[in-house]
Amino acid sequence: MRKNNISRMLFWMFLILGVVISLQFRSRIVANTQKSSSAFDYEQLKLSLVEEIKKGEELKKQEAENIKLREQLESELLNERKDESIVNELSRLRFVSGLTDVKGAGVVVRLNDAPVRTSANPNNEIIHDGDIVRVLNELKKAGAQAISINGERIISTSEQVCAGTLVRINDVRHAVPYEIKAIGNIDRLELALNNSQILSSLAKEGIRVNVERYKEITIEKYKYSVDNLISALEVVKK
Amino acid sequence: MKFWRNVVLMLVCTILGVMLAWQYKSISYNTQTASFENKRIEDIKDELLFEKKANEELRQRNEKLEKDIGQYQQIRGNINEETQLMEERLKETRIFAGLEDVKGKGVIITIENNGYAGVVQDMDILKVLNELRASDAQALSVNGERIVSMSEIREAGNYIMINNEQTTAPYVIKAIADPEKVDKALNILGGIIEDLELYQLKVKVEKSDEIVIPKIDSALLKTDLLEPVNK
Repeated sequence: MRKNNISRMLFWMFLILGVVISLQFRSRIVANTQKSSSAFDYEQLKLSLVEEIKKGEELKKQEAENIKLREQLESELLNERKDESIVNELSRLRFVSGLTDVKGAGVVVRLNDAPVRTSANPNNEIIHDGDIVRVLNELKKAGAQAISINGERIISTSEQVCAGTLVRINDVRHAVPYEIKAIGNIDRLELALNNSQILSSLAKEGIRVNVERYKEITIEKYKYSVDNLISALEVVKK
Repeated sequence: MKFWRNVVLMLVCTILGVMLAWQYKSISYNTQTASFENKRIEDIKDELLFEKKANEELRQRNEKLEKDIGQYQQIRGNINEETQLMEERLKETRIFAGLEDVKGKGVIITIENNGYAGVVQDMDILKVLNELRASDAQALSVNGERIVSMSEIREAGNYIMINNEQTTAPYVIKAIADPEKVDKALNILGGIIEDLELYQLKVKVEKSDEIVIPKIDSALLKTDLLEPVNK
């Protein structure tokens, strides 16, 4: 009787063992095939992404060359006719609207994500689009006359929006660290930044914030063609 | 005999226990890696789509530039056409600088205080403007003030200063942009409209076929601290 009981128990145990072994075996196989197919997709996608980015770089270079050539042809045209008024007006407009490189005294704000993720909410330790919008607004309030972020000149239609872990500015995606340059009255700019809520709250979250003054910084022009920025605008005739 | 039976039983039990634990771990690990890989694939797909769209736009811009260049070379020497073209270029640059009143299709967004429950803050306006820029708005104004690159939004108690002018609620934000695109971007789940309503603000979005946006006072385009860089 006792012997019978024990062998029954043994029977059940071996049964479970058998099922578990086969389950485990199967799940390993599934995991391996799954991993290899998604890894394959990932590699493929990554390759096409790298290719697309390279293509974009080339197109941007081409655009810059085209803009330069167009400007050159314009100035040749104007010089031949010695039409000073149009030359001056055109270069003045370009200067005030961010289409030329400018220099002057200014400040540089450098922002970088927190070095180590420590807090319970790591979301607070990375820089968001709203943070950059706020910093820019502080600079504008303090009378900045030209601003750029990672070389992207801020014009009236420059967006700063999150795209994954990157921030999109002038339709180009940029990663940390962010370098925000502003030309204006240095004392005013620095004071505004140091007294701003946004920089102190960023620093409190562990985000690396650094503000430096410079006697001279250069801010690049808006590098792209503006044709698509005014295509839907019609002048109102008075 | 009995001793060996116990040993065998113990061995079987141990193996069983280890297998069970292993199985459990490997299942949860599998689901974890699967979701992680999926997320990475989704991210990279988004990036790829974005780059493709950006490149398409770049191609279009290049086409237009090349057309211009061709035109310049073609009309060389023809005074009338040259003048016309330069005036066209001047007009475009004036529009880009915000120095012309402009009109076009777009949206009007009105944000209003809701008693003491919800008061419009500078950040609300900044967020809406940023969202509009992200949906490729070409001209923006808040309460009749043209928004240019250096326009500030300064909260000052009961009012907000824009371009050094004092304005109060309701804040009427106008944008010349593709109305459908803007509507989609604003009303997306968890988007800016939902955000503002969460803060108890009254928000209204209207599409319009003709929105007029005034120019900026040229005195506000300050450049006295800027120096051109000569290459």
